[in-house]
Amino acid sequence: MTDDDVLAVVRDCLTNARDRAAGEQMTRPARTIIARARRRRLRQGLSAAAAAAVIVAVAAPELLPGSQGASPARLAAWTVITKPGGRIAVTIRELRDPAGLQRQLRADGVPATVRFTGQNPPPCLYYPLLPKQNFRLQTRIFPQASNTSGHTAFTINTTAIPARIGLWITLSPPASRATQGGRRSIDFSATWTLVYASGRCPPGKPAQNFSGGGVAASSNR
Amino acid sequence: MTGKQLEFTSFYAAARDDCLRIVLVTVGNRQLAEDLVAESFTRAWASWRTVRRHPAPRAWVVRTALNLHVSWWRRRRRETALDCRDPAAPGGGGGLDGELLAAVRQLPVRQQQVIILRVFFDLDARATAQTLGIAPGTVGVHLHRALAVLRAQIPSPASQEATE
Repeated sequence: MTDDDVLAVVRDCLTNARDRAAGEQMTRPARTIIARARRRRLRQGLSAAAAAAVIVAVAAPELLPGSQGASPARLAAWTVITKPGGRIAVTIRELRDPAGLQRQLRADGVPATVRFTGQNPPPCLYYPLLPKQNFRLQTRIFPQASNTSGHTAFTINTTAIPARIGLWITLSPPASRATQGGRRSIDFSATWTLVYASGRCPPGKPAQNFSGGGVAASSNR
Repeated sequence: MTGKQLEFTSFYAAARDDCLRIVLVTVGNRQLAEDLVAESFTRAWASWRTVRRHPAPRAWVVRTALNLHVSWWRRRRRETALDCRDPAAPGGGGGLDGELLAAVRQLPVRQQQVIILRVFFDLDARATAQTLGIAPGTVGVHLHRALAVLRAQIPSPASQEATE
């Protein structure tokens, strides 16, 4: 028998079997199929979002060695000092514990999301402003910034932050460079972006009064 | 209902019973066949943009169902060794048809798919290859091997005369 002959016999056999099943019908309506696919897609979307959240949560302490349990003998990795007039002075010496810095800034009334370069970017939407407006607003919010050897410092003017705007602050890892005398200095850099203060991004600016000569408080890490 | 849903719904209404019967013939279990076909249509809806452009969307659904059957079987064999053959499923009715049908069900999945696509959808080697995502030459090899196995189940005319 050739292959064609065998195929003909198999064809007869299978089509007969299918004809004997002619009474069989699918009992599920199309809407059930579509709803099932939708539920699955939704579940997959939620799983992906949850996975991303877990990665960010895990990455924060693990990407940054020594983010917990700083030795008392060492200088604090960062310092946040609240000053009169709603000004917050931030000094960064080491890129450790961005979550703690973010928490502290939010507690002090700054709707900030802090990330180090290399971490997942926050799910923020850029606040649309013309370049000139953006520059002016950033200059008002961040009136002072300096990047001297060994640390970076900037001041945040919380009273200049509009209600719907949040701050996405990115701290870049230090770049070592040679200085006079053969020593090496470490320079940090901080960049900030104006984003919508909504959703999972920085929460809206809390109603907090910074005006008047409040007592300066400091937080070290 | 959107146009996409209408298109899928009409495809589902036209193809579901045919696909069910083909899968039922292949797997031999009514409930399992319905589950496999339902899952295949769910995936077809999830990938409707691709499936609607497929030269043989029904073949796509059946191929997916048979792939799912392999996955189901792999899971199942770790759980239980019971024979899940459905007595209500269409068998070969004994004799040559019964043996041949059993032989088709025992073929490796690729050979089985090639036979099913050739027999029920009349796909040539090129279309079968496109549906299965393999080379046309590989389709020819699978078909030849499958037919060699099935040939052994078919008594030759000489042996038939001897028994008569």
